Amino acid sequence: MNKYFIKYLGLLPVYVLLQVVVLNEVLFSAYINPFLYIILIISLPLKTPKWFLLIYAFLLGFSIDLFSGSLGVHSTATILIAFVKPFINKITIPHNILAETDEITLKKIGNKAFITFSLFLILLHNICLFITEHLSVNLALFGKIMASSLVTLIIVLITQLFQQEK
Amino acid sequence: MHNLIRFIKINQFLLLFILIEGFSVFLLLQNNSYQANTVIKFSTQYTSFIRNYIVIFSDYLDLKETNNYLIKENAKLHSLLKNETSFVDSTLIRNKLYHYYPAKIINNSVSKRNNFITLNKGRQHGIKEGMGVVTNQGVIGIVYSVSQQYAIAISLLHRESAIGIQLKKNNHNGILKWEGFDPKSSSINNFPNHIPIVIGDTITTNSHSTIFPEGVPIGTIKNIQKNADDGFFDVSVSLFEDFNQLNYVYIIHSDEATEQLKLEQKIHKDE
Repeated sequence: MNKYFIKYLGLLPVYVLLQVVVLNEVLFSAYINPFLYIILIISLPLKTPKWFLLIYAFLLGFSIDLFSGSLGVHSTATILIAFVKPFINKITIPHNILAETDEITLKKIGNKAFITFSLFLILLHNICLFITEHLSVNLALFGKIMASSLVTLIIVLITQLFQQEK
Repeated sequence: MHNLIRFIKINQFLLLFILIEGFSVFLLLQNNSYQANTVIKFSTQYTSFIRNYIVIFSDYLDLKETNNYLIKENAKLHSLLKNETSFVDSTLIRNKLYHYYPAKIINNSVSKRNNFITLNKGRQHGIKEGMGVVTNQGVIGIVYSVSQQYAIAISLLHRESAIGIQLKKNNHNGILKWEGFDPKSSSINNFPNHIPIVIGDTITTNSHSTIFPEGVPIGTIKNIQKNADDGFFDVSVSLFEDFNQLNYVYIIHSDEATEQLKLEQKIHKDE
């Protein structure tokens, strides 16, 4: 397990910089803003200690917030998905398919399970994020949530293609 | 006591979640104030330091566009200088004297609800909170937080931004706000319906502001809609400046503005 602690703490600045320097800068459209960094929360192994999951989510969200100038927006959404992740695990991932210390990847749990699992978390993250950001609910916001979630999912799936088989 | 410890042990995940989530919601609520909070103030100097390195690389990519922009602005200034024959009666019209500080944008966003702009000038260069940020094509924002070498400005594309504007042709006033989605347009709500406006009218800053000089161009009217509820016009404005391609800006400041503010504060106190 300690191996994963070090690996994920090392990946944190990489993904934060990738998000802040590349993805936030590229304007696909006014309605699309993908958030790749939640892949770190998605792929953390099932048996990760829960305190680590929450604190890691806070660190991740907080560092994105520091770069974007408004505190609390990303960390609130990221902590929320870290909290519900263990429950969604149970619903979407088939039993006994995955060792408890394995990372959750497309290859290990299959296309269908991975897409439903990550779509759940991405949608929840984006809904929480955009509503706390806009403080209103209307059709345009709904469109933004949907478009961003879809693009985030596609980018998450693309990163899964680069996972090496061991 | 024993039961309490057992309760905490069983529910440690939930309790820790509530604790951390509560803390981050607290941070979220702190943000609503106009002045930047101390955490942002402190972190600006470090995040900007990292960004500065990135900008050094990306600068090379748009050298050509920057050149074009500067040539155009030079030409404009030249023509202003040559044609300076108009007689301004200094007893009637007295424009405030503005200082211009050039600055480069090292971070900018347009896709969020509340966008901020990081500039490479700070307290060291004489920048203070509340100064205006403009280009020759429009109003960009207002400085919000300053560190030793960097400054963060609230973009026009922000929930809290409200710029006093006027129609160029007949000086009627209104307030420009951003709806939250399209970075190329902004809107004026509750514009009185007796004022003759047509699509294509130019909008500039008005003379009430202590931050911006009068007559900075902002945009043209793109669409006019009559609000069914109150009969006022909802006007959408297409902005001259493309916020996604900002590069160099001017931070402006007028010493006389502080004098005006002082005077006006007196009135507010008396009320």
